[in-house]
Amino acid sequence: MQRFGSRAVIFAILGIYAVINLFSFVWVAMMSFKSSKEIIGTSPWSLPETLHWKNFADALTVGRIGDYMLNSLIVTSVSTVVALLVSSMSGYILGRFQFRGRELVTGAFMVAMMIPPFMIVVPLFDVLETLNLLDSHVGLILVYIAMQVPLNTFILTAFHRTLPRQLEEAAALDGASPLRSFLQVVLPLTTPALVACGIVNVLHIWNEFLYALVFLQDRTKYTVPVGIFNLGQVADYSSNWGILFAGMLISILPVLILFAVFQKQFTSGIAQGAMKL
Amino acid sequence: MARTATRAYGSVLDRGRRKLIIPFLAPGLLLIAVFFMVPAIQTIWISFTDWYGTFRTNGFVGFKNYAGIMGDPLFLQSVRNTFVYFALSLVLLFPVALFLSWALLRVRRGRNFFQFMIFAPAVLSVAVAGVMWKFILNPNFGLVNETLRAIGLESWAQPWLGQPSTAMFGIVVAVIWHGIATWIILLIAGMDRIPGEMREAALVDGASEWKTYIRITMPLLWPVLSTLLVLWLIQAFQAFAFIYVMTNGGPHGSTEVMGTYMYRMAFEGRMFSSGSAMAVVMTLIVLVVSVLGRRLLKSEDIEY
Repeated sequence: MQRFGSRAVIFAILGIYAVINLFSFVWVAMMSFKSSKEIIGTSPWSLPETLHWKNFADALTVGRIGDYMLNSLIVTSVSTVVALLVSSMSGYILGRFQFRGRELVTGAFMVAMMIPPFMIVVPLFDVLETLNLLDSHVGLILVYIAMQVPLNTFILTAFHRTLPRQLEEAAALDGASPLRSFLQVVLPLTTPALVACGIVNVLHIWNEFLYALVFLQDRTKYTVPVGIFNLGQVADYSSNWGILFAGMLISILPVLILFAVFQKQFTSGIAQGAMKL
Repeated sequence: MARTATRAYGSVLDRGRRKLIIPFLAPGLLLIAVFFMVPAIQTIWISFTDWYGTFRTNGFVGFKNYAGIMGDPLFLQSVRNTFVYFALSLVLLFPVALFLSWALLRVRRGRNFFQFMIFAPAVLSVAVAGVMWKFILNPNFGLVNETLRAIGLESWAQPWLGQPSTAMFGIVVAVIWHGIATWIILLIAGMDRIPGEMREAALVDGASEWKTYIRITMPLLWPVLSTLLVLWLIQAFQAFAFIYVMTNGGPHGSTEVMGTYMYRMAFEGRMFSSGSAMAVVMTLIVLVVSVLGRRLLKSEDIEY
């Protein structure tokens, strides 16, 4: 009897929590189909009177949400791929070889991981300005790569340590150069670790706010977080909430769908990403 | 014998490969040097010089900027608010995360669905989640107030983010909604490592599920909990995005934290030296508090 009681309580609590979250997403979806007049005039629970598709068209043209998505896509994919390559190289060396200065290198990555963003953002602004990389995706991408390299290196070092050396030795006997055997033999073996790391990187970079806010100034270059923030500001004084909600829905949906498909990978990615300070 | 032979043979092959050490480490080290190490040192340097807008001297002014921010009541308030933010979020986050992870472990049917619904906010950008909650808490057409009105609790409806007494609370709720997944995932991972026999023994002795959880599981979870606590400490003291997006420090500075005030100083007021001094103070507080936290929370690692 008591068992049954506690099971019902568990179900009720989880159910309420899940339903609240579900409703908050459904609410965004419903708002994005309403006209501004309806948003103010009717209850948030009422269904939209007519499907106001114009919000979506406006979000793409006036709100530029398509540009933000494309910018985020470019910045995230380039940063992630380069960060994975750079960290694979350092992870391979740290996991594979003993050499003088090893502790120093590990220490440097450790320190870099502990430096909070606020500690570097002012001089970075200055550095990017002098390099003419302020307000450019290249500058932002470089910062994002540097931001991911330390954590990636630690995860990949641990993975490289577990790899058997025999395959590399076989490749060497076949006459492959060390560089080629790294690229063609070792790197493919680390695919599972690269996927795990990649998810952590994508989550961090796609969602990063502070650097993007400080380093990007031209509206057309905004990434999704800064773009949505900007739409929110605009909606506040123009009362054009429909565009904002349509924009939010457009930016949220693909991420939620990806999460639904790769739930397991994302879940472990969220946990691993937490270890970055 | 055989092993030594392989190792010697391997090291001959390694000799060629060891040439990769420097070129392979160089890109990563260069990146963190240029974008992390050097800027961090520069921030310390800037905090001891005068740099305001376009006016910039490279002269050493000693602790002038530090004295300046220490005499700034708004900065001191932001430090206080940061502690309030940390404490308030912890008080809410801990029990909710513990309860939800316990419930998720117990549920059999529909666990994937519940996990998806509870974790989904975590994949949203902080800025997007912040904007979303700003409107959920909107006094005129927000979800919370309208729901309160609909169920007859009209007197509870209020401008959540518009008054100093509730603004921080509103932000903390949004932060937890977004961040709780990390906690639950790490807690569940910690619980999975605890052998089932201990829990079962307690259950057989007649303890209730919840009591067993509090008495048996929690103490064994201590290493995980203390790690989470230190992680949260470090994150909370750098809080920025949610607050910047939802209230921008207002109303009347009631949600101004170190992060938002530093941003305002450096990038809205272009007072780069004061901003840098704040960044240094922030980093020092984070370091001291996390080292202290780690030391205080350290209990002997429990073997199980």
